[in-house]
Parts: sequence; C-alpha cells; structure tokens
Amino acid sequence: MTSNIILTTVRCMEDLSSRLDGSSIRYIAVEGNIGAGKTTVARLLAGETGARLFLEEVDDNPFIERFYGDMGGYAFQAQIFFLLNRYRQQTEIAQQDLFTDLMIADYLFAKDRIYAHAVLGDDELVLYNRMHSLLEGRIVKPDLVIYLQADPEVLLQRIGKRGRSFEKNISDEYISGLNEAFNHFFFHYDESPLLIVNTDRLDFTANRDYLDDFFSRISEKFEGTQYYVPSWENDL
Amino acid sequence: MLPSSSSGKPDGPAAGRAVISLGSNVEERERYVLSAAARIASSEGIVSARLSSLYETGPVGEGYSRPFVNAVMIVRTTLDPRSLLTLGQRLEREAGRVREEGTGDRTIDVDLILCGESRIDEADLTIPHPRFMERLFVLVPLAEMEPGFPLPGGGSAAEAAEAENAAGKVARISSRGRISRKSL
Repeated sequence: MTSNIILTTVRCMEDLSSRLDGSSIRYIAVEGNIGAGKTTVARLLAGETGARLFLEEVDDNPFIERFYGDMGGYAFQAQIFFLLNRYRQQTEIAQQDLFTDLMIADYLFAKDRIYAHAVLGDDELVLYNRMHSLLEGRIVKPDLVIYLQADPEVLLQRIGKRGRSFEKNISDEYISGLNEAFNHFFFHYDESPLLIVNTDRLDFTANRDYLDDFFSRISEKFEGTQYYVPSWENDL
Repeated sequence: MLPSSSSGKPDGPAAGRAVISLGSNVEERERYVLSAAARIASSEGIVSARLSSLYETGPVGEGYSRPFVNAVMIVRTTLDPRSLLTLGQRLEREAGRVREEGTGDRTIDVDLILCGESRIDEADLTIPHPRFMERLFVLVPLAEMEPGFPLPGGGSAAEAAEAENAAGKVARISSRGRISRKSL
C-alpha cells in the first residue's frame, strides 16, 4: 500500500520538462494581444522547466516609442526592426537539435503579419510581405502554440497599470482592432496544435494548483485547436 | 491601417452579451466541445469569451446512446442573433455533425440560448431558447460562471438551477472526462 502511494506521488511529481519531452513538445510559442500575459506565461514556463527563453523585447525596439507617438510615420521602421530581430532568434531556434533544452518564445513569427496588416499602409505592406515571405522558409513551427485571450477592457486596464511610457497613447480602437486581427489569425491557424486560454480572471501566480493544472494540460499532446478549461481532478 | 492614438469608442455595432450552449455525446466528447469553444472564441465578431467547466448529464429523453458532455459560453459579441446562429451551424457542419434520429447522437450541438435582450420567434430561430429554463446542463454551467446572471422573466441563473434541483443530475467533469469529487 505504502509503495503504491509513493509510486503515485512520484508520477504526479514528474516534472513539466519530462512530461513535455515525453509528448515530444520541444518548442512552445505563447501569443496574444498587448497585455494578455504572453511574457508572464513564457517566463513561468521557462522558470518551471529551465527552458531557453526567446522574448520579443519590445522595449529594445528603438522605433517603438516614436511609433506610438506617430503610427503613420514610424510603423514601417518599427515593423522591420521586429521582423529582423525575430528572424535572428528564429534561425537560432532552427539550429537546435535533439539535445537542446526546451524552447519557449513569447511570440509566433507568423503573427508578425497581424501587426503589419494593422499598422502599415498599402505600399509598405507590399514591401513588408515580400521580406516576410523571403524569411519565412527558415522558420520552425512550434510543437504547441498557446493563444492568450483577454477582453479588450481588461487589456487596457493592464496596459494602464503597467505604465510603460511608450504605451500611454494606446487607444481602445487600437486594442479592439488588434483583438479582431488576432482572432482572425488564430481562427484560420492550423500549423501547430493551438490552445486558447482566457486570462481575464486567471492568475497563475495566485495559486499553485491553477498552475499545475495548466502544466498538466499543456503537456498532453493534442491535435487541432482546443480551449483551455481548468480541470477539477485534484479536487479534494 | 488602424486608427491612431485618439481614444474613444470603436465604430460599428456595440458589443452585447450572448449565451451559447455546447454539447457532444460522440467519441471524444470533451474534445468536440473544447474545439467548438476554441472556434467560437476566435470567431470574427466575438470580442471576448468565457467557458464554463464541462459537465456530464444523463441524456434527456429516450433513445440517446451515451451521456452528453455540455458546457456554456458567455461571449461579448458584435454579432446579431442570426449571425450567431450561422456561426453555430457552420461549426456543427465543420465537425461533421452527426444527427442520428434513431440514437440521438450529436457530434456537436451549438445552441444559441440568449442574445442580449433580443426576443425572436421565427421558424428557424427562437431567442431566448424555448427550453433552456428546464435544462440543467445550461443553467448549472451558467450559474457556475455567473450566479447572478439575470434570466428573461426574472430570477438569476443560480436561483433557477437551485429550483431545478440539480444535485445528482449533472456532474462536473475534467477535460479528460473524469468526474470531480466535488460534483453536485
């Protein structure tokens, strides 16, 4: 009896890293609108597994502040900076082999197009798409994409709260427009298994049980697109 | 190009709330429900979406071969009832909807329950859904997400669920189909 309990406990405690490995999940991309929690979730996953973390580094984009001040004037520069930065990271990801650690990114290379379509004028978009297509061939598909959704009202509150200077002019329409664009993108997305997670009320940092349930869910292999609903298997 | 940094309400129809019921009793039932939920959540015109826990109900009426897994979504949407109906029908078609009259098996049922304050009584669309007040598999998940959800004709979702005496009739389950020990 005691040995059964010990065995069960050991199995439950098998770490996330091993479980993901067991499901052949080696590269996870977290996506979502501004303020949805991509970087938070990516960091949580990396912290739990020791994975290599690839972050968008929006703050490092020298054009981002000017872009939010004058979207028409600096959209193209900002987008091209992101495109090349992300491409550089992606080629690094593509070079990994069987012995590499798990990789987590807080963006999906393909989604770059969403912002481009949202912020670039027609001529700029033609040029951008040409560059994107040239680079796209080297991109590795994630084994799992996690799409974080939140109500635009919640996103705006979070953006206001975190108070990044360059984000202070973000409007309702911009966030709502991006929300639609993200939805449109993921409604048609079928390149990798996709888990949609609503983060309106979800606070993984508040309760370890919520986090464990989420880890359980993402380490199960599945096909197509699924909505994340917290499980209740560990109810006492 | 999206509008720049002026603030203000977006143009177009204001977002209202709708309640959608999902159900499946074929094969991997949980998978069909969670897949339909994901499609709805990312649909055009859906501003935000919430999904309840999954519940298993003994099938209502004779002839059903397996218990259903059900869940309810509350969505904020700019879509009108007819557009939501079209979306639901599309999802049912995409899932290769099985509608066996003999067994009553359903690959995926997507039912529009409520859409804001709308009241519609047409051949192919009745809003509010005519039978939802008797359906624990709608009331219980709805009450779970929002106990005070106001129902047409008065009362809240929690009150209605309690009045229908849910205990023992509807069991909360995990996404892997296991029954919660904290079931009603």
